[in-house]
Amino acid sequence: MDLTPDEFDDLVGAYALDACEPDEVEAMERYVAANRDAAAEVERLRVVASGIGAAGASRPPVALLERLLTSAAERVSPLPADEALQRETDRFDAFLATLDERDLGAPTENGLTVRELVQHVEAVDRAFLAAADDPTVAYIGPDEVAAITASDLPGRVDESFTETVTRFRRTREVLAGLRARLPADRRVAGYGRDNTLVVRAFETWTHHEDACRALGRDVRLPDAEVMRTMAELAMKSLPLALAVRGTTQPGRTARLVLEGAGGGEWFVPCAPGETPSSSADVVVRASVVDWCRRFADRIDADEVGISVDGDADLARELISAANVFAGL
Amino acid sequence: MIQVGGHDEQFFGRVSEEWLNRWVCTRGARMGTVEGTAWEHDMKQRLIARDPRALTEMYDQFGSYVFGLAARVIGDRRAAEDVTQDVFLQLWERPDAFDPERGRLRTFVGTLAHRRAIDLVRREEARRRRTARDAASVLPIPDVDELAIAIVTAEHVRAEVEQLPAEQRTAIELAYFAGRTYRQVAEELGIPEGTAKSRMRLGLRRIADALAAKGMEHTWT
Repeated sequence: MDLTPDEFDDLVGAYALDACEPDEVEAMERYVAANRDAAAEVERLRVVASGIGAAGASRPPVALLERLLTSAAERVSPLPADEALQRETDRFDAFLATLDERDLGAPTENGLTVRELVQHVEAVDRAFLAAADDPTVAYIGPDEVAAITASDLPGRVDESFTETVTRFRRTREVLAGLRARLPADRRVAGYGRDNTLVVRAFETWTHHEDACRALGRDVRLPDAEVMRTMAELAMKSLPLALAVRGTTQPGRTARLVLEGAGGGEWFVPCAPGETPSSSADVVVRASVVDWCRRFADRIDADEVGISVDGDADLARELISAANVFAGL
Repeated sequence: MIQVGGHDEQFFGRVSEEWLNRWVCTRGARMGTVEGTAWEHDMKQRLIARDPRALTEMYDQFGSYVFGLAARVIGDRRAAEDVTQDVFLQLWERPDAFDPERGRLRTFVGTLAHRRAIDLVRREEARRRRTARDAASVLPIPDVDELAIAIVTAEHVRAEVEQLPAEQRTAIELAYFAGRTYRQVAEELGIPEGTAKSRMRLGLRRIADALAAKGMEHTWT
């Protein structure tokens, strides 16, 4: 919908009062962005609208500022993908250094021992590295990850843990270097270059937690910046996740507010390729840690503590779809 | 006597004069351009640099305005707190969205707050909450600074609103405070959609022109 000057003039009053339909809002925003006089007229009328609204200025509760500053401190910026991966790698590496022989045989919840889990992480890293230079590898998803694990681990039964860790470090170093080596638009096994690295950071964190739980150790969360980087990926993937489940809702938008260190706010279109509206059909508030664990399929949909304002069915579908890309 | 939030002009009179002098001095922006104030440019840069003191300063400046507007539109204090927090977090995370060359920060903040508030009102859950709200709920304690601005500015706007033909005033208030779209306004008032749009446009322009004639078109930026 492209507006003529007459159509702009017809809508400008309603637009200044936020009383237009969503498609008209988009059209107005495009028109205003390209036309300074139109922008000035909108501003002139919005000054009036804001003046009408200012009559009720009222002091918010004192505690709100503290809440705001706490949330603002948690709203950190995402990291470059290689830095996020490196931070999670370093944390995992430090954890591995604390393991003894008895720990290595402990079974984790996904059926692998702690030792096998580390081998699994390294094997999948290696598969992504190979795919980086092989455009014929179309996709590495949950099925492929399971197949890689099944074919790689039996040959490493006699591998010492020192050797496993050394291989992990070496492979990881090369993997982290992909960001410097490959152009930004290069696809790696169906993922964007940077997304590949964030996926691996995600998996490192997830398996780190798997191992901690298997050993009865306290789980420590990634840095807020790493969590934010992973949350960005989880949010970006949601429209596609809905498509995979066949539950897209074209023309609709969800606003997700993930709370806690590394959280943020996202306007997510409910179908791939769409531009989200600034007017949300549902607002979902959840813990960023819960949402990321759901993305990694470490908790069920009903374990994600959420508050929903708006279309509850859409909220449920988003949470149900959040884990569709999770692998082993 | 100006009645705002149960307080009177006498109480706020001195502050109002002070604010009047401060805000009126920014008048005179040329049509088609807006010159951002040094404070607005500085605020934007400090937010980009993620200076938490800038966030506090902005909250001090606009918090009462945003909260009061949200509370008025939503009719629910708790939800108004959420909207207020979301508005300032949005500014914190995306300060680049504000362009001092295209509009005033106060107007920008007000637009964000109003959009989020009516967005909430328009969702079914919000309507349910609104219906169930405690009839005894009252707006919170007025803030002196923001209220002073409100008195100076809103009184002029309110005076102009009062001068509007009733049909224009009704259309504007239904849209702004009740969160109705122009189509809903048309339906509610039993008028064509084009008439609803023109009442909003003509009413706002009439007020804007009246403020401009007084040299006050940007008095509260």
